[in-house]
Amino acid sequence: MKSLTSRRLINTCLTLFCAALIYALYRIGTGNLRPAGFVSGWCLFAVIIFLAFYNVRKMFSFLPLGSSASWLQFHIYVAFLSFILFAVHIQFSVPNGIFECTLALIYLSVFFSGILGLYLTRVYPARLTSLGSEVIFEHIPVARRQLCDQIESLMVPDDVAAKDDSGSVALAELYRDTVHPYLSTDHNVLIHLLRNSQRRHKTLLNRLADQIRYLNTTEQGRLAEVNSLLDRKFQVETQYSLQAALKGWLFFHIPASYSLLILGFFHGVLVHAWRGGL
Amino acid sequence: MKNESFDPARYQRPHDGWQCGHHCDGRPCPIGPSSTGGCTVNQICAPVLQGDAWHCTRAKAFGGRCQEGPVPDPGAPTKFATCPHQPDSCQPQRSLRQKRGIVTGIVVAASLGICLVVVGGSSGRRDGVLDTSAIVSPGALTSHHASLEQGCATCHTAASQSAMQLLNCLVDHPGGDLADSRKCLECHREFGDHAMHAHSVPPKMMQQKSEDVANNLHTLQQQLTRLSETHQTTESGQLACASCHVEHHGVAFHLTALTNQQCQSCHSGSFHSFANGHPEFRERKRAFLYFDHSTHLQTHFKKASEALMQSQSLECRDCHVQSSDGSVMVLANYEKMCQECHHSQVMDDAMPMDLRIPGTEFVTFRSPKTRPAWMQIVLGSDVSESSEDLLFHELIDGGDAAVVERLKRAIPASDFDARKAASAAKRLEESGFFVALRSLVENARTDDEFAEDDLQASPSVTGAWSIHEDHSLRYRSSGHADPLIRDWLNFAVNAIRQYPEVPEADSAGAVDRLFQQLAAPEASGRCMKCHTVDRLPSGGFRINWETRQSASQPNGFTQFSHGPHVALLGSLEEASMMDAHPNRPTGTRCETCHAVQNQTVDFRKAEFLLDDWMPNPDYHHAEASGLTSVQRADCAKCHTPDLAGDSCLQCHNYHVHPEQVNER
Repeated sequence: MKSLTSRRLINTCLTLFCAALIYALYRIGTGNLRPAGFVSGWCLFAVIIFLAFYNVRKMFSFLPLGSSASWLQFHIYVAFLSFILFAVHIQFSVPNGIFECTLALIYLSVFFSGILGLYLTRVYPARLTSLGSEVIFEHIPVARRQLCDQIESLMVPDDVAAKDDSGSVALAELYRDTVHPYLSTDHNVLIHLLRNSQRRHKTLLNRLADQIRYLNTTEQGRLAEVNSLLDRKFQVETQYSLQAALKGWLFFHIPASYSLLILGFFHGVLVHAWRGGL
Repeated sequence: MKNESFDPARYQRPHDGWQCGHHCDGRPCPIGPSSTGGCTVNQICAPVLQGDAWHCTRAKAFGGRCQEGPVPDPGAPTKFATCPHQPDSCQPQRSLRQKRGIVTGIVVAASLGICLVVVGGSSGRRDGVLDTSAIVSPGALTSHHASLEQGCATCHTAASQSAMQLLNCLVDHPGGDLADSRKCLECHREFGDHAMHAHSVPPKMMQQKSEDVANNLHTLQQQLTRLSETHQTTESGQLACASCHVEHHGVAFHLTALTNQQCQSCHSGSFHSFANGHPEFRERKRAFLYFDHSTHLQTHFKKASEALMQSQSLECRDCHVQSSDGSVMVLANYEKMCQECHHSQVMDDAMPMDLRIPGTEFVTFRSPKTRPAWMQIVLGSDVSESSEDLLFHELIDGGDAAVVERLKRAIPASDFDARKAASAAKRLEESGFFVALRSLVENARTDDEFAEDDLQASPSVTGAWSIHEDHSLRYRSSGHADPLIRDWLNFAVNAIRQYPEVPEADSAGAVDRLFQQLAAPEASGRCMKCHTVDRLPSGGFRINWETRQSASQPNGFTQFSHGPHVALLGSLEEASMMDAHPNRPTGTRCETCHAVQNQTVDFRKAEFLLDDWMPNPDYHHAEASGLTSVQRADCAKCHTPDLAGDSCLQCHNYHVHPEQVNER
């Protein structure tokens, strides 16, 4: 089995070779007054269709079309190749027309959103792994609610058996004044995407730690458990943010890809009709 | 430590379209919304009335039957009951996947809408409600075409089609891309009938030229280029204008720019660069004036300077000056350059001249060989003495109109140029020929002595006719550019057809003889001593009266401007001192490119005329300057990519004017 490094090396070399081939054909095409723009345009369109088929492959996962991992590898390297084709197609200059500029911007937005997606899918999974056991994205609200309920039940027990014999209400007051406002606030998705996003969480834990000396032994034991649950809640919320980002970039990438396909095809129709047919 | 737990069989699936409205709070109902987004919480438990009691029907998956049982409705206890454990109803929300699908749908619809608006808009059609040409346009036109920015239909045939016709153009475009090129040619008419053929020349000619060039490929890139065949042409061999001239790249775009590689892509013999592989220059085209630079510079001018006690001999720029646009080195006029030495030759009337009435030889007129050529022309095959008398009286009475009529009868219609004939005859009238002829005839019949005073004074624009002692009527040139001699030469050279088989007895042969006599070195005016003769594409000949090709003359395959080169004269020495380049010529003078020919050339008889003074049809080989031809190697010293540039388009025109085609 090939190592990751050797696989990347081979794929990169293949991509560079194809890019060099495309550039050479472009130079030859423009050199002998052939309509190189038509050739590069249709090649680019074909490549974009191939890239879009990755989404179709995911929709029809039951079909024997190869593994998704293989498709993803092709998707990434062919996307880089498409950027070379795009540069050749626009002749390494900024398009002049409104429609062409729009089309170029859509392509670039799709390409760079794909780059963003590649970055997210390479970086965030590692962070997710470091955040303890992974929770399925769709279950995170439920898990968060469960954690909140557990914290509340520890700090404000309903049943008599769970209440402290001393009748201390310090933990309940602590919950009312400090923990409950924290729990009742919606978590900031964007803040959790940053690595140094624990300021609010740490502040809460520090405030709870400051209150330990006012608690009896039983309450201190419960507070330690609450601290653990708060840590877990923070992890789950961070997981939510990371997973939302992993899903969210597709909100732009996929619709823009469809728009690129439609407008790209229309662009081809226009230039052929204007130039004299296929 | 795992603090949270959930039923794996019950959690929200990513592909589900809807999710419970309480899901974001972390308290979703166990049943979830329907596939259409409706809340189904009522289906968790549907109490059943059995006898007088309501029974719970909650499924096990949702907790099973409760012990409390349904609570009857106080208003209608036997009709309605509610489950005490039933969750609150909610407004289901779309799942993330479905939201993404909606966004995708909106974007797709918007994209299709843009396409429909663009196709449905006018795009140059005047009947359209919405003009979308600004959206469709791939960019601004060049400044030369700025006036065309009135709609796409000005240049594109497809723009005038309807939406459906536009789509139909994809598969069945009337005329293809050549249809748009024809629209270009509605304005660009200067390229002639073969504008869309390579170099705007007839295909047969281009094919012939291509076959003449050897297949010589140098670099790998050139070979690869050749492998991909030539540029795109249609079945008719025509090339769309847009193949080279790509518009919509901005106002300042260079529309005619082509790389050397693009130029060579069609040529069967390609080469690396101007300095490396470019074909040697062909023998340059002969100058309009036949002038021996070698003898004049090395002998005549020096002698003249010595005679005038001048320390410096004449220089090139004493005669050659730049034209107003700087492109051509034009000659100074005759009076400045030539008159001082050659005026006496031009004015020499001692030489016999064909436009004469030889008095003492009157009786010999009946012989076509001795009869003056012009008279032979107008007499035709009639050789009787009476016909000559009739001719003279007819000319005396009828004047120039009679001459034209006689010429018209004598010259075949295909060779007869009425305008030139009328002009030549008119010059006779202006020069007083008919008055002189009357005097000659009357004196000849009475055999009286006559005096030259009897003749009318000739108009100043032409020369003068005089009756000599031998009773001959002779013409004396008015000087350089005498209109009478010039117009009769023009008439004669235009009518030459039968060469080299010149019949002696017919009038056509006489036309050739007329030219021979007018072009002879001893002929009055000595016109053909300097003014050369060129063959016309139509088959006839033309005398080059002008001294240069005017700037307005159509372009040929090759162009050259003296301007930037003359600018280097004198100043280049200083420039080379500052910016020394190994290949840059120093001390540049005119002779750097136009070296005086050391080889002795016999300039006594012009090579554009044959031994019998008829025009030389093989005009390409005629050399008339005494200067060596410009060598490619001399040009290549400066014309490198780093110095003066070596683009093909610096010296070559792609579009050749039709009139220039056959001269190359």
